[in-house]
Amino acid sequence: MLKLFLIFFKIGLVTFGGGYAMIPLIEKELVLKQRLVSEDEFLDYVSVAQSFPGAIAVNISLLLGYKFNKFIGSIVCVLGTILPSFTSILILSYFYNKNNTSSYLNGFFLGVRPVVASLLLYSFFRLSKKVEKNTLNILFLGISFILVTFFNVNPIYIIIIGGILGLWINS
Amino acid sequence: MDKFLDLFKIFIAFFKIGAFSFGGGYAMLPFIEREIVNKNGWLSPKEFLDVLAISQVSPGPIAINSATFIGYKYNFILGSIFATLGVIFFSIIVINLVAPSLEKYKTNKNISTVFKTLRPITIGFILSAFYSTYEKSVSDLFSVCIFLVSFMLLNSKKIHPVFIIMFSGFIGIILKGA
Repeated sequence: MLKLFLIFFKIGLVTFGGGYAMIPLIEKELVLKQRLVSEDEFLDYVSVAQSFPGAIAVNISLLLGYKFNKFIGSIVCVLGTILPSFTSILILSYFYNKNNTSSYLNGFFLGVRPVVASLLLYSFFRLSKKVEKNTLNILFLGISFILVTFFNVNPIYIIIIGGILGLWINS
Repeated sequence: MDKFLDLFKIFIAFFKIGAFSFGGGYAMLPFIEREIVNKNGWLSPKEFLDVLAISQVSPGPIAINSATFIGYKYNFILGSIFATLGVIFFSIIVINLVAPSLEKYKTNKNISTVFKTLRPITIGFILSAFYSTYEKSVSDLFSVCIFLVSFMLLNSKKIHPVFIIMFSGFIGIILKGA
């Protein structure tokens, strides 16, 4: 148990940039080094983790933890994954809230904010490549963009209605 | 009692974010913007942009980082604990229910159809997050340059986003800080 916790702690500690950056690290630790999971099983877990709601890294660690030790295992692994993140952010937010009038910090964020926009555009292009380009998909993408951006529709409703429409069209 | 209600409120806000965002960190942004910035005003639009930058440069999943950060802003350590638990709570329940019969869910045609439909919708959300982020952050020659250069560097794929963020931050300190 402690070993599992430490493996996921280590993975959480060295990944920068979110869930997708974690997948190759988990693969290296659990599939190649420790041989606790087979390659095929791992790919199944990744696809389930991606398709269910929530953070991908959290979903993968829950699935793997469950495999080793049921509910308790899933809790142990997810705690391992989020603990480094939780503590480092606590420290960062302490300083952010304390020094938010500092002109250096303001300058830093003025430089960083446009990068956030380019990160999102980059992620949009990368993810678009993975989706089949048919009329229906392009329509879904365009309509959800317009509804959220210009009509201020709650994305929750778009997810629910989109899922129902998808079932209805394909049946 | 009031304090408990406050913490319950942030837990529920992040529970909603965790339960409806498909595809990880970036897909969450329109939900965070709506729940946290527009509806409850716990974060200003500028701080919302900083959350993502900080989440990128700190280790771990972006969803956890932003929940912890926003929770701290809202109610210090207790706030960050409740926000973080909120964002993972739905996953804990659902994955523990699904895990015993993984095979069944993997091959269920209806489930895979729903998830396939949600993919382009999620990408539409990310485009929407880009649009509102761009509007708020790219306004003068300085920000246009940072935006274009960082986008080119990201596309070259040889430089990790963390370094691009740190580097742009330092340029910001030199040109706009002091």
